[in-house]
Amino acid sequence: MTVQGLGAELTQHTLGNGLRVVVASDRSAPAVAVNIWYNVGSRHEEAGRTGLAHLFEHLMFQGSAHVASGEHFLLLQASGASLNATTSFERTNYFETIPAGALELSLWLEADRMASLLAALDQANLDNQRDVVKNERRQRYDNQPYGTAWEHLFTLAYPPGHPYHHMPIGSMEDLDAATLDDAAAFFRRHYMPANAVLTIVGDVATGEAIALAERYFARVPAGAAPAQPATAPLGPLAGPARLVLDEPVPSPALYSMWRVPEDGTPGADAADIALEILGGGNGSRLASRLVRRDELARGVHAGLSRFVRGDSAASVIVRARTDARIAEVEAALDEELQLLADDGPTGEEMSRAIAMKEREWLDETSDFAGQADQLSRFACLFGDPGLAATVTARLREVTADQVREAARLVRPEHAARVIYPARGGAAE
Amino acid sequence: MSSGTESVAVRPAVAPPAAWSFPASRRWALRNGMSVLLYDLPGRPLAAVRLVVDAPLQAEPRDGTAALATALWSEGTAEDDAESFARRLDHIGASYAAWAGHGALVAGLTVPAAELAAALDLAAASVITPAFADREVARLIGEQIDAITDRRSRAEARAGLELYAVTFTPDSRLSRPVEGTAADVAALDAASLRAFQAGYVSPARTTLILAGDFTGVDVSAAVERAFGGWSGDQGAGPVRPPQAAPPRALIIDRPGAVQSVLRIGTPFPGRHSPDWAALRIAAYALGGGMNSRLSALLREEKGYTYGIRATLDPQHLGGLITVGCSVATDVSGPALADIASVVRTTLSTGIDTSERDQAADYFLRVGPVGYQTSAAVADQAAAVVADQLPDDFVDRHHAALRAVTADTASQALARNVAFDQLSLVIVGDAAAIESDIRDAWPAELHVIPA
Repeated sequence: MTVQGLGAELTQHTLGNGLRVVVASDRSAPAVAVNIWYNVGSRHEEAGRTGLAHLFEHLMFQGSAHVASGEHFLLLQASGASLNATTSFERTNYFETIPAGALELSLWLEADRMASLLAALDQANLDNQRDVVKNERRQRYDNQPYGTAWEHLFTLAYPPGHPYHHMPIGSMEDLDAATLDDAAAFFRRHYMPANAVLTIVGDVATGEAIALAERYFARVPAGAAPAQPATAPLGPLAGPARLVLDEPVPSPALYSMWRVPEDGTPGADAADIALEILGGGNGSRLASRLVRRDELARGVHAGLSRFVRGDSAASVIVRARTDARIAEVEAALDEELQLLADDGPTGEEMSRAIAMKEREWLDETSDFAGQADQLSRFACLFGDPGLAATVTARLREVTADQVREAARLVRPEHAARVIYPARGGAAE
Repeated sequence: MSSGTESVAVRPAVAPPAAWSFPASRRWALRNGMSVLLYDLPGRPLAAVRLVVDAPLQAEPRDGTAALATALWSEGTAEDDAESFARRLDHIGASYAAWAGHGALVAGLTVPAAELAAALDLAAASVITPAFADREVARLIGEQIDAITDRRSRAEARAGLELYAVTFTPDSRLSRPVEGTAADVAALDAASLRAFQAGYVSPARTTLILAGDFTGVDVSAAVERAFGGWSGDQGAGPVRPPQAAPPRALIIDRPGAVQSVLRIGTPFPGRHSPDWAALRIAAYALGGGMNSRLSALLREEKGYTYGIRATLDPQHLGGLITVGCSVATDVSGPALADIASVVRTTLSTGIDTSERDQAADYFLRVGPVGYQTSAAVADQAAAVVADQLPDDFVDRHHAALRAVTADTASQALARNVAFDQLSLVIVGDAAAIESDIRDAWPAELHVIPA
């Protein structure tokens, strides 16, 4: 499971129908990760149909020509699999890690739904999974304190009509409006071999993995993959955008988002390091200032949502202390943002950030599933799975000057901000 | 592999898995009595470290003491203040978290294996010489109170807290939150933390678990250097098993909530029970996989919920069997009626052979999938140590799973769960759901404000 070798032992193969196959043989554990990225996400949704990509992901578990509803989970779990799927802005992934003896079953199931989902798609399945997804939305967003903060941030940070203006979960109204025709059209437009990457990592010989991919996927009908238009980079917000939410949350909080360069650029890597210096881990500037020194917050989080075909989203979340005044929290946060933009990082901060990012990468690739997901990511969105082997090297190349430049993009004046001033919060 | 001309309708068979066992360990003890459990996992460059201190929460003089003490382990030591400690961890790419559980205190680190020695030095300092500086103690008390408020404001967490509160007697430590109440935490100070630390955190009650690829690392020298000088032989006192309380049914009222969080549960004896393997199989059939009885009806047929699970939550010397899900407010009554119906039927008629096989196949085959990482191995080992089970517990448990039949699983479920002994906790909009809930659940229902 040599992460450093990720990329070195990769084999790529393209089937006649256009399916790209990536294989990394690793015999260190008797398990195999199968991971498919379809190059489709919420960014491909049309007006009035937000949430369709994710709803469709649910329908992929409702059966296909030779698989009954529910059987995908039933067969794989009985074989000892861990499986799921997720929908993001730019892609939808389907994945399972199985004991090595179940590899053929897994490939057969994935191929069957790629080839023939529409044979099983019906109104009952759609209505049922629509209800399930609406409950997912209630559970994860609407019935949670701060639950809709991210939705508001994307709405503020990206203009109406922009592919990242809305989140994959979608709105209740649009979920209600989705029809069987919408789902079928979505499948025909986006779910074909040439718009997907199949990655196999683990306890199988490379040649056998490719032969099995041929055996089960070669019969999937070909189709022309849709064009993948990028959105011209917008650059930072011209001025701050703010939304104050008077909701009954337990303590005040500040959610901030900035537009930063797209993934695959040195600017994105520099933003990643800048965010790590600002809010990654307990040794970060914001933890030091807001949590330990000023005691205004009990937690800070910083992160980068890397987008390939449009501006990435940098975010900083400050969970304030219950009795903190939000204006004071915001002033301290803004002062730290400005300081990094003005003076740049210290050498000590640069090495701290790199060590943290390297650990994070080891964590993300610590099992076959994590490795397969990264290989699919780079193959699907960049056309080259080998780029996965260069992630930490590219982060190490970031200079202090580049970090200062990136920090200029995440200054207060460019922030989209959702503010929960609630002081005292819930009375319980 | 064959040539591939057969019908697309033919499902590939699953080859029987190779024999699997939990990774082997090596155990030794330092002269001060501290135990070390080493899992050498080739090809796992990210190492996992778990320090498990056998200090059951029952030993606390006041609820929340252990949770606050462990939270302060990473907030300064004799050598480093909080800031400096955090930066040292960051520089070696280590993450650190410590927490109190009902059975043990745990400090956990992940770190690149090459940095193990430096990580062990920091881990040792954090548990042997925590500073408990007044300023950091006061700050963490405030943060902990905020965290308690935050947890109580989250419907699912609140339902979990209340279910433990109603299913065990008030004098059972399990009935009360690990972190204590806000009032408990406000009454703590540095002196009380030092007293707890001196009384219950000692090498003889500590097991150090290491998992990862330590090629080129002198593990025993690094362990000796970090922990060899630790002295003390204090121990915890006798521990009482938790006591079940009479069943109750209550709604925690949250006006306007768009969902109801439903939880039903009853105590069970935990991993030490001879029924543990059989109960896992029965609970999986009831509400484990996506095709369990509960999920098939409430999610895949009715669309009432994003997910429903029957869960065994083994705590120290006992725990809860629960069924839980979140449902839209307007279907709360019908959803609860369906849950009640499925549970009653399963208790009275048991599970069938195909359900037994589904569950057993899953548990017996998922090992190489689930235990790929250092962290997964170390966490399982820590749970076994905390529950004072033998090092080969996972392998013994797998043997027990193989021996479970549909009949023995059904009998174990019926033996441990009586429908009329189930408690019910709902966090939701009482005005909207109360009358439907009364129709669906045959017990006296209490409504309390959030």
